[in-house]
Amino acid sequence: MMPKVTFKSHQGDVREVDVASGRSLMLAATINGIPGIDADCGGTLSCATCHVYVDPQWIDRLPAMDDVENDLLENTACERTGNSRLSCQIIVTDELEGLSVEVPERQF
Amino acid sequence: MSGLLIVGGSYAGLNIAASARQHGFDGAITMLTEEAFLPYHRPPLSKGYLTGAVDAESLPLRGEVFYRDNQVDVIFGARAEHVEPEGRVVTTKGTFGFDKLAFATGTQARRIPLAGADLDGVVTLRSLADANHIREKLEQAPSVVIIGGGFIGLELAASLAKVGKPVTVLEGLPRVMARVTGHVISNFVERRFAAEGVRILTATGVERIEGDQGKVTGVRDSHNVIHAAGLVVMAVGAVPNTGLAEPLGLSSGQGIHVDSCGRTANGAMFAAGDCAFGTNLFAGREMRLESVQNATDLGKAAGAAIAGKTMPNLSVPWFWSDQFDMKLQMVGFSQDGQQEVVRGSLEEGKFSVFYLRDERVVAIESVNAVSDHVFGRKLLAVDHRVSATMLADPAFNPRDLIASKAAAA
Repeated sequence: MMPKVTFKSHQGDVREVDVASGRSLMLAATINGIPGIDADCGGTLSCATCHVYVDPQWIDRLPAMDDVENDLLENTACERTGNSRLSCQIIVTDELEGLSVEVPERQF
Repeated sequence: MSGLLIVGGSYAGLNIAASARQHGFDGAITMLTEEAFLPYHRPPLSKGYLTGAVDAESLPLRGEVFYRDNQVDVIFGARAEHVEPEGRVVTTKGTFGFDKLAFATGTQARRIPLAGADLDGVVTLRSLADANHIREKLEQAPSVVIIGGGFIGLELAASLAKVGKPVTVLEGLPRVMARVTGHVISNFVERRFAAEGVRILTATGVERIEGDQGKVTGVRDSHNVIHAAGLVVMAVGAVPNTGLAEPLGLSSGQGIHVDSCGRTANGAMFAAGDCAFGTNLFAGREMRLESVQNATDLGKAAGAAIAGKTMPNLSVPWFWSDQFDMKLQMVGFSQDGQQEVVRGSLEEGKFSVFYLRDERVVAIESVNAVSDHVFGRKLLAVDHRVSATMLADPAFNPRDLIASKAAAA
């Protein structure tokens, strides 16, 4: 299955991409050239440059974050909100079909 | 074709291209890579890619769509051979013109000229091709010897141990990662590896590599002990690829000389990443820094400079290394410290070593203490004052050292 997810840019551009089930949202962004997701550490929970704001409708439907992600989110370039997640930690599954996130203005 | 020509397709090359576009460079951008792949993540090559946890599809830094959207033309298998300063680079895939030239040539793995170093089964690890080669060789190798107990050597050793290969690491200095970490970290890591059954022999050099009919059979160390091996990995550092810049007078043995914006002495030429030697504003001295963070950030600065914007690299250098269940993270340079203070629990394996100089934290080395590391990146960027005594007090919260952001709740 290839769930569809939507990335909204800071300027309001909207892009919908297919994501192979089991891939991270971060990977979907970098493969598809979604601007604004830097992913400097390649998804190893060593930076905070894959930061996204998850749509309020979806934030509670994601698996909870672990302590490491929570700590790293303190280091985002744009303000951390209750909807902040690191996209490398969001694994897209069929249940997340239709997931929508906003990309912050900057990652550094 | 004129415009920006980037020689090298890894972190620095990609970030130069992306940053140039981001800051308004609208000329042609061509990236030459001698590899067959788009720029890709290197850290997994010694870790997840070897163990099979990470597949090749998740390696590219950006997918093809990025290069198309940003009009970056990538030429694969193009080995640059000569730069004509008037504005041309001669490569194995033809000659390319430029108005601006960026060197992102990185390094190559150092090979010690030992007897037996040319035997089949003696390898280095730098590229995806190297990693694929190691994966192939691994199957028939009953055991592995790794020469070098630095980051790559240890990550490799941990990965091989995870897939059940007997591994021995030979490290010439008295402790592992001696050049890049302090004693507390070295000791902790050595004990952890011993607990996992990986032999690390420190203060042990290599005399020669032994072979039979052209294939490696083992390594004779400096104490005359032979360690059997079907695969030997030389993980003894890297040398910068400065060959193209040397005839232009832009480099030395230390690397291609740049300022904090990645500019060389030639106004049309730039450099960033592992190949670049220059002033690191955080450390206040010149250095060549081999890390993903530096290649990324200096690449971004160079890209901005190419687009005519002065945005020097001000980043606090940081680094990470995953070995077994240890997440090692470093910020700053521990060699610059005069005093060290350990916070956290060595027993639990969650701690940080803070390094102070003149009552200021100049570096933090952490094991499984992400919070300290993340905070450290902020702390090291601002003026602050703290004594070793204060820092050593568990009741003291280092976060009090910087003004807190407006509380979220």
